[in-house]
This record gives sequence, C-alpha cells and structure tokens, in this order.
Amino acid sequence: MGLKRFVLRRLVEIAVIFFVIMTVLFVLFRLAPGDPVSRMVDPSMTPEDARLLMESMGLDQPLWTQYLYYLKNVATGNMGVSFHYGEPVIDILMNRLPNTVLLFTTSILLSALLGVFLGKIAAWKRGQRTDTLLTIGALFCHTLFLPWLALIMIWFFAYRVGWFPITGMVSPDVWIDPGAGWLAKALDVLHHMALPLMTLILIHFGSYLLVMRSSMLDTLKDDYIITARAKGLEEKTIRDHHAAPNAALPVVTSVGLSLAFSINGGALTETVFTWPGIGRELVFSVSHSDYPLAQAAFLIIAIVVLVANLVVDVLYAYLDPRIRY
Amino acid sequence: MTPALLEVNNLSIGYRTAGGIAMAVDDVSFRVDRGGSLGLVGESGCGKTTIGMALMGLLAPNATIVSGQARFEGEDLIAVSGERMRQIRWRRISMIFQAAMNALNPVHRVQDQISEAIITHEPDLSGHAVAHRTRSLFDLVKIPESRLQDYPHQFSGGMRQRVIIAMALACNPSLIIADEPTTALDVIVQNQILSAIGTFQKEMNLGMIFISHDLAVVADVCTHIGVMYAGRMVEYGSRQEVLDCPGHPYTRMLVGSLLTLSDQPADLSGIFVTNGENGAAATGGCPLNLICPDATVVCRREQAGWVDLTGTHRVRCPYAGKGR
Repeated sequence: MGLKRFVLRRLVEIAVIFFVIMTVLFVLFRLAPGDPVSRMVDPSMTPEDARLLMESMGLDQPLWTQYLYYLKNVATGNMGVSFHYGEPVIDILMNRLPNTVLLFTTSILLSALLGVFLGKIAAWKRGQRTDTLLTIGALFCHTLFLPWLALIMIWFFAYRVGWFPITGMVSPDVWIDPGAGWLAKALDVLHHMALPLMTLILIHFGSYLLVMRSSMLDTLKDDYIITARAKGLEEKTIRDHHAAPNAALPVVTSVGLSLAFSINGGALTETVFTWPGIGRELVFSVSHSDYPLAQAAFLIIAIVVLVANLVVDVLYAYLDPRIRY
Repeated sequence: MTPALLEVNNLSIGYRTAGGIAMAVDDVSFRVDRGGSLGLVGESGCGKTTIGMALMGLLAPNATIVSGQARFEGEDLIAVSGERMRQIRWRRISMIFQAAMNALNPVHRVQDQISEAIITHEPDLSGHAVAHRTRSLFDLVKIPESRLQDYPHQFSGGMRQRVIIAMALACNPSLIIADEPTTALDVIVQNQILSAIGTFQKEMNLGMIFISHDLAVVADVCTHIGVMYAGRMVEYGSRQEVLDCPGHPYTRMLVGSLLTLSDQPADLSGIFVTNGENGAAATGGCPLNLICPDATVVCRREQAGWVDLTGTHRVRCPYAGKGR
C-alpha cells in the first residue's frame, strides 16, 4: 500500500474518531452539573429575560436539535463565545496554541536528544561508573515532582540569582517599544522560556535516557553489531552509526506520543510559570465554568493528538526502511 | 612445504562461568594453506564457532584464551593488540556469516554497508573507486547493480547471503571464515551459494575455514576436514582421507550417516546418540567415552593422544587404524 493511500485511510479514520469525540463531548457537557445559563443570569433579571436568553442560545430546543446545531457550528468553525472573555473561543485558543506548541515541542525534542545521547553512552559503558551515574541521575530526575521542581527553579534562578524572569512569556516593555526588532523579541521570549524549558527537560530526559539505554543494550546484542566489529570498523562508528539508529526507534514512538499529548499535559507547568498556553486556559475555563471555552479546548486537543499520531506514523516510515505503508 | 597461511597450534579457549572456566576449545591445532579450505565439522556447542571468533578477535567478553598460537602471515593473531587486530579484520581475514542471522544492518542500504568496509581499510581510495568496486562485487555475486540502493529486507534469503559474500570479498582478504553460510537456506539455494563460495575461493586463491555441522556440505567445498567433539578435534586430514577411511568412531558415524543415492543403504549400525556429553569432564578420559560403542577401560581413564595414520591424517583414538 502506498503512502498516499495510507494517509488517506488514516484521515478517514481520524474523521470518524473526531466525530465520536465530538459527540461524547456534547453529551458530557450536557450531563455536567449546573446550567450554562445560570452563570449569565443576573439576579436582577426577570424570569422573562432569562427565558429570552435561553431561547436566544437555543437551550429551549430538544437535545437532538441542539446536537445538530452543535455539529453545524463545529463544522463551520463557530465554537461559541467565551462567557468570561466575551470573545469567540476559537480566537482565544488559536492565540494560545502557538505558545503551548513552542514550549512543549522544544522541551520534548531537547529532552529526547539529550536522553538519546546520554542513553547511548550509558549502554555503551554498561556496568561502569558512567552508566551507574547516568542511570541513577535519570531515575532521580524522572521521579521529581514537577510543580515542586518548578518552584525551586523559580526560587533559585529567578528570585535568588535573578537570571530569568519569574513569570510570563514576554516583557511588555520590549514589545511596546517600536524600535525593538524581531531579534530582540525572539530573545525576550527565549529568556522567558528558559526556566520552564529547563524544568521540563530535567523532568523528561530521564525516561528517554532509560528507554534508549535498554533499547541500545538489546541492539548491541544483534548480529549486525558483530558484523560491524568483524569489518574492523572503529568502535565509535559501531556505536553511533550501527547501534544508535536502530536503538533510537522506540524513542521516536515515545517522542511522538509525548508531542501529541503535550498540548494538554502542560496545565501544571503553564500554571506555575504563568505561560499563556492552552493548558492554563483549560484549567481556567473549567474552574470558571466557561463551557464554550472548555469544550473548544478539548476539541482542539483532540485534533492535535489525532494529527500528531498520523505525523509520527509517517515519520517512522522514513526512519525505519522496513516500515512501508 | 610452503609456509601455511594460517597455522593454529594448541589453541585452548574457555568461558569464565560461576563454576570456574568451562573449556570450549581444548588443544586444537590445524593449518590452512593459500587456496586450501578446511572444514570444521561438529555438533552445536563443540567449539567450532568459538575458534572462528577467536581468530577474528571477536570472542565474548567472558571468553579467555588459555593457551595457543595462531600464526597468520607472520603475526600471532592471539597476541596482537586490539588496534592491530581491527586493521587485520576484513582487510586480511573476513567472515561470511550465517544466512539466518541478521548480519546486515536493517537501517542502512547494502551499498553503504559494503563500501563502509572498503573506506575503513582503504581510506585513500576515491569515492568513485569505492563505488566502482562495490558495483563489480555485485556483478561478481550476480546481483543486478540496480539493487545496490536497496535495504537488506528487500532481498530474499539467498540474495542476502550473496550480499554477505560480496561484502566478505570487498577488501581482497587472504583468509575467509565462513560460519554456517548455508544453514537455513533451502537446498537449491544452498547449492548455488556453496558453488559460488567454492568458485571465489579457488579463483582468488583464498584460504578458507568453513564451519558447519553438516558433513555433506563440508565434503562438497573443503580440501581438508577437521572433526570436532566437545571442544576437541578428534580427527584431522584431507577430504579423501577423512571421508574414505574415517579413523575415529565419531567420524565413522558421521560419514556413515551421509545420504547417498546409490542402491546400497547407508550403514547405520555404528550410529550412537550424542547430546554433547563431555565424557572428559566426567571421567578425565576421552570426551566420547560415555557413548562410544568401542570404548574400553583405557578410554575412560586417559585422554587419547594423536595417532598418525598417514602423516597428514591424524586421529585421536588409540584404536584408530588397528581395525576392529
């Protein structure tokens, strides 16, 4: 089967799954306790006003009619207006999405690179002191509690040493300044990103290191490693060119899954570092009963997870020539 | 006599285990001449692969060479440094691996896996010359050049074995160690591969050590045969000598079990079952003393020395050549 057919088939699958998720979300939000309108209804409103409000939002219609409206709205990209912000939720979320993607994609890719590199060395030096130190270090970092580590990092690097800003993603003065070029703005974002990035890498590189190490140990037992040795290749070539590419394949799967789920997995990080991303918006919308915002956030997360999985599947075929769709 | 290409003397190799050193190869000697081929035959675990790996300097980390020498083109392979051994590998001694093995790296194109060996050992060669040699190696083993860009999984088992042969010939070695190169191939492909190996070996005047558990295959391609059992070589001689008048009871059994197409049924009277039992470890005598139908009290007590039958044909059994 060609790649094109595979992608087409997967797109159809994704559409079906998305439809199911959409329906489940609709039902869940109707089952949720509380009346969406009750938050908007002012005690001073007359019952007549409240009824008009319900009617204007179609909430007096039977459930299945509401469902059809919902499908139509989602299909046309109309996800409603946020109760809290009073703006279309799609605008709010599309505004937050790039921030989340920037922080988490960077952190996952960097932790994977670090994990693969150190895991390769640990496996190569199996049983020696380097291996012991790396493995224990990885396990230690992996078991750290993220909010705790985040606060420690903020306390030390932002408060005590003062190298990085304490919160946020940008410094307003840089962005207001008309003379600031794109480079100054990029550096400003990087400066704000450093702390959350370091925290995430510290938490995540360990699991990649352990996956890479055990995968590499398996690979080193493979026959083609003996062939590579028999060919008289340098040890470094055997490690980096023959063992590591094969061993890194499971890491790619794990990176793909992390990327897909990172979009919502960052609620804690985004909250602690006040990073204006999707995760923080989701927490906010749930705690403030902002139903349209929460519903749309869930839908966007679903789309990203589904598409990211497809991308990983395709990417995998490029890394392992044995996999063809 | 011209000096041997490879001369192995009293080679003993053990594996360190929790219960002390387990001997895998015990006092083995043989020689391989340029253009000659020695078949090492024996059942699994008899130490034949360990010998091959020791000659390549590729023994497992828990293996230890207890004693012995392997003189190859003026150097002792057992004593040379690791870096020197790395230079000798493939350039002067290469290996043909078992077909069923994953000897080719699944994520690299076969062309790159062959040229990599050439580039490592002949770094001065231009990229063009490397590509040219890789192409001619493919011609040699009769695989279309168009398949150089393919990955190992895109080849059939027989073709993959040809790629492995092409790779083994890449640096013009003087000795090739073929470790079960046709095991797990069907008989027709096996026959093609064997004749290919035989042709190259003769045409290029290579020395070859052919490791197999299959005496019929060894009889096909080798000029000399060494029969091994439980780490010891029990019989050594030219192909004719070993096949026509096997001196050791174990060899007699192996030769007797060869299938023939003649109307005479094979002589199965001497067949006994071996499970790799090492009688030497149990009693200090001949390794086969527990199962050999001809074993006597002497066999249980002491190791048999070599009995020279013809000067080139040696048997490690006190009753060899005496008739029964």
